[in-house]
Amino acid sequence: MPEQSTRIIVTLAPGVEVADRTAFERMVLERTSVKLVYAAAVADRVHAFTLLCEPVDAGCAHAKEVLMDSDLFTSIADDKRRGSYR
Amino acid sequence: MKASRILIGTIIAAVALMAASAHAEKMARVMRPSGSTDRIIVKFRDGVARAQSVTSEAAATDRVAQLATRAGVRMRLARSVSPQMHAVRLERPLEGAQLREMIAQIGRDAAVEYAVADQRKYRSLIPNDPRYGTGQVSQEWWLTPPSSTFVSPIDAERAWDITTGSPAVVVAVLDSGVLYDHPDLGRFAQGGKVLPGYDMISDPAVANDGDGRDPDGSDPGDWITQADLSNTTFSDCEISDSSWHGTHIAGIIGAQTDNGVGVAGIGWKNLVLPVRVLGKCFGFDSDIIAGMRWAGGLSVPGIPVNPNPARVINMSLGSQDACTNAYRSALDELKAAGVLVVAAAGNEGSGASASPGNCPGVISVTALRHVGTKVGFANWGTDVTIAAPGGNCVNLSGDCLYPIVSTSNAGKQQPGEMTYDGGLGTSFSTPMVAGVAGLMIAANPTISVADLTQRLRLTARAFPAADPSLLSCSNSDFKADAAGNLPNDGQCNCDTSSCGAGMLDAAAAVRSANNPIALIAGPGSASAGQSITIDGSASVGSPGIGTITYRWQATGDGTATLGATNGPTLNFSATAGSYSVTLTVTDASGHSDSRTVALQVTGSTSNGGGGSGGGGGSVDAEQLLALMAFCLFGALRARRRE
Repeated sequence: MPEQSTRIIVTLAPGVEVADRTAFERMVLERTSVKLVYAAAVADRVHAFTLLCEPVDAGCAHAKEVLMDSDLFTSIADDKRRGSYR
Repeated sequence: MKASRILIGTIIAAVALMAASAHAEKMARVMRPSGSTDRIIVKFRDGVARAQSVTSEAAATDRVAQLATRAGVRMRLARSVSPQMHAVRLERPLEGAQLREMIAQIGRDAAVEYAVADQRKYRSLIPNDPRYGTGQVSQEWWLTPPSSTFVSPIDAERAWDITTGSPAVVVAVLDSGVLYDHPDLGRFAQGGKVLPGYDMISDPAVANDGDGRDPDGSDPGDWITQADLSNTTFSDCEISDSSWHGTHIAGIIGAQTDNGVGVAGIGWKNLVLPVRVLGKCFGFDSDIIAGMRWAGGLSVPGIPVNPNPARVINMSLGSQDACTNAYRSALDELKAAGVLVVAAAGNEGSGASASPGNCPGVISVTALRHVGTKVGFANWGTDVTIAAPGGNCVNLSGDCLYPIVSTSNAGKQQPGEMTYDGGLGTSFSTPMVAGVAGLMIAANPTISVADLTQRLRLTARAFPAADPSLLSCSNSDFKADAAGNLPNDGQCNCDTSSCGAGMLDAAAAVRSANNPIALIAGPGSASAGQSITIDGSASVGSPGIGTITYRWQATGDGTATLGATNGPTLNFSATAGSYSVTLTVTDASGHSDSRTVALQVTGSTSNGGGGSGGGGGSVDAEQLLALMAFCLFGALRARRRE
């Protein structure tokens, strides 16, 4: 099965926590069938994840829609790459 | 034998003399003014005891004595500067709030137009770092005072006359990490300039140091090899040697300076906080935003709070994108915490700033050539805040002529020999602004982010006169052709709608951290006899001291008639001639700033015009009497000397 990955930054909905990263990943998979892998903390309720999506579409758009519809997150944005300006 | 002894003796004496001279110079450097003085300059209002003042030094002594009595201050005349202006001496030196209160006390007297501290002035501080250089073209030309050849330099020398920084001011470098052991940087714990920092890169492959986030802000190298391109993470990257980008930025902001080694940095005493957010090829927004938060003392889950929060964050990074809410919310919190964020406008040769430089509240910096035009690679647009030198080569082969030289390393992959290297890019314009902001904070630790931003903009020097061979950057014809090429390889004439408020002026910006800013708007020309209004109402008070008083003066080779000279605007009319109109604004603490504009008055005059000896302003009977008395006094003194 083809699988695409992209990084996203999410803001957790009120009441949602990621105290246990593995448990959080499992809970998201069970509720949405979308596979997330914890990447990094950004702020208190803002975290980065690697989103593994299938079917493969531009920027994992379908998977992001599913995640937003889950009420687990209040925002989802691309975790874009930046480079130096030398 | 005897001759050789004499020669040796002479050499020893010369060396001793040089050493003594060097020591004296060093002492002169360290014995900078503390701001303490027992001298105040008092300017009396026009018409107050004018006749007395111009005819007798004794009368001036008496006038100052009367003022001392009225103001309840123990002081005496030191010397007269002009008929209406005297230097007075207090019974003891004062500084800080005591000095400001004393000046305010004297300034409240009805006969006094203004009073200011009579501070010592010194020749500009010139660091002894060999690459800063003297005599020939400095490798750090961008730090020097501007000239007709080098138009865009930031004039750090006069800024250093005010402050060389403070170890209480931390400037964060969000970049590839910093090489702590560079001889021109060094670990803070060992007497150097670089704080421990943090590695905020969460992906071990990108971090290139074997793990994710860790408390090591050093740079392990960010090289990309052919083999890396087979890794999907790096498949869109280019093969490259390690950049040592963060080390280069750190040197511009805060290389050890006046240490006889390498380069000078902008903040001699300010500290550098390295926060690694860029690894091999790139960095993720999530790590950059976490790095911004940590640098500014905000919380990042799972990371210990930064014990050395930065007041300024430098980000010589980005990409062409819209500003996201993730950046906006972090920036809002940083602003509330008093942290200024400075970011590169970017090198895409695009008509819009890169992100996060385009985010609200971020100072976006574009790059100038040494002659003050926009350098080809630099982005421009209405979202650019200010411009600073970014390096330019001029020649198409051989050595680049005007790079931005800073601390670097010779290692192609892992760190090797510590060196210096030249760079080009808005990456290197950005730390000039961040470094100057650090000096402004050292000069005034309570200055706000809003004041820093406003003052960097208001004190920027005007862009040079347009080069007729180039388009304006804001000209609609300045755009890429079908092949993606810009006219004149991207070089264009800057204006305030394309390259920000102007060219970074370190000296003026640092001075403004504790002073009001005089600003003048109005016509640069007029017809003889025409009444025009020159507007100084855009002038701003000192940080935290909003109220200012205004004083207008005019000189020229004709006769000018001035309206009220103590308001925010000046009504001006004159006979034909060239005039200089000066506005001086003074705050309640006696801090002042002046700005002069040239005004050309053309056409025939109705009142005989011409005038002799300049001196703007109408001349009334009282002034004429005073002038005659002054001339007579001068003639008598001259005769006595014969």
